[in-house]
Amino acid sequence: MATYSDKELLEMFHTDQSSYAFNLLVRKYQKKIYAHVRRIVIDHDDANDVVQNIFIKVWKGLEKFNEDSELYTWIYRISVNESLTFLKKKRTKFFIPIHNVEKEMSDKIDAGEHFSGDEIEKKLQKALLTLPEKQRIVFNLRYYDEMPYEEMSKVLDTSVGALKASYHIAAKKIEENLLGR
Amino acid sequence: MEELKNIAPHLSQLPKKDAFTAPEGYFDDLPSMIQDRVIAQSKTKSRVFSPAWTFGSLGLAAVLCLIFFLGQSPDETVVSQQEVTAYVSDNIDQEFDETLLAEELSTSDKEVTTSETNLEEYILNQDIDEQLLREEI
Repeated sequence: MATYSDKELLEMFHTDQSSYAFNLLVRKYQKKIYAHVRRIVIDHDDANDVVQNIFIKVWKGLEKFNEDSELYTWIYRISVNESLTFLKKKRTKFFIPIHNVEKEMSDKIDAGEHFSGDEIEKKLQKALLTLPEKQRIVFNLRYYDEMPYEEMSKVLDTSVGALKASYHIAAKKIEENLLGR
Repeated sequence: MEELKNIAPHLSQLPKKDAFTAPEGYFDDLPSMIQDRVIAQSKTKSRVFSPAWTFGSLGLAAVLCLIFFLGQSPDETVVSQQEVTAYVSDNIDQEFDETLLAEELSTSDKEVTTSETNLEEYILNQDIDEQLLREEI
């Protein structure tokens, strides 16, 4: 299947091929977005719900999408917001204090469903759950997605300096957790 | 990553891989699942704004308005200001002082208080038949 650039996809969307262009867009970004969401919500079924909601929002917003900003950045921005909203709803819905949601996610890592990592990887993922949500997102975007700080700054609407500091603190905490300090 | 080597040397040496996996065939099905939801939402949206719905709603609103107006009480009579003035001048012979009336209205709201002793005194002064009063009470 041919890979289209974001610009080509948007042009296609604004002609009479909107459904086809959207389908191509989903296929282009689905794995990246799923991985990003899954690292935040941990459970596959939850990630599936969030990912579908993200693409529905993308579909609804594409008509008015400002082509001055990058499509990739915009989709990531929606992903972060949707994932955080999902966790927030989960907490308020069941009146679960913060540590219990994290505990539930930690148990899911232990259960190992749709998880191929070894013990070190499990330990790393559980260490990540001890971080504040936004710090965890910064770490994931930088460590796994290798997103440049400038790009991340647009996604999270935070200054590059603050993001660097946040990543630095997160990495230090994880290092200490892995070394059992 | 050089950046990580300095901050977290142990972490930087770990092989970086995505341990989270999706079920077999998930990414083959996901685009059509999303497309189905998009179509379902479009249908719901178009149903809400369909001509049948719009005209149906307007018809119902018209019927409700008709019922409301027909249900209004026929006894209600609208009287104009001129009719009120004419009625007063035809039926009230004496002229009355408007200033006096205004004063009366402004004082009529005032609460009148009186003690039990005052009441007793008033009854005694008025030469009221005590027996009759007791029976009344």
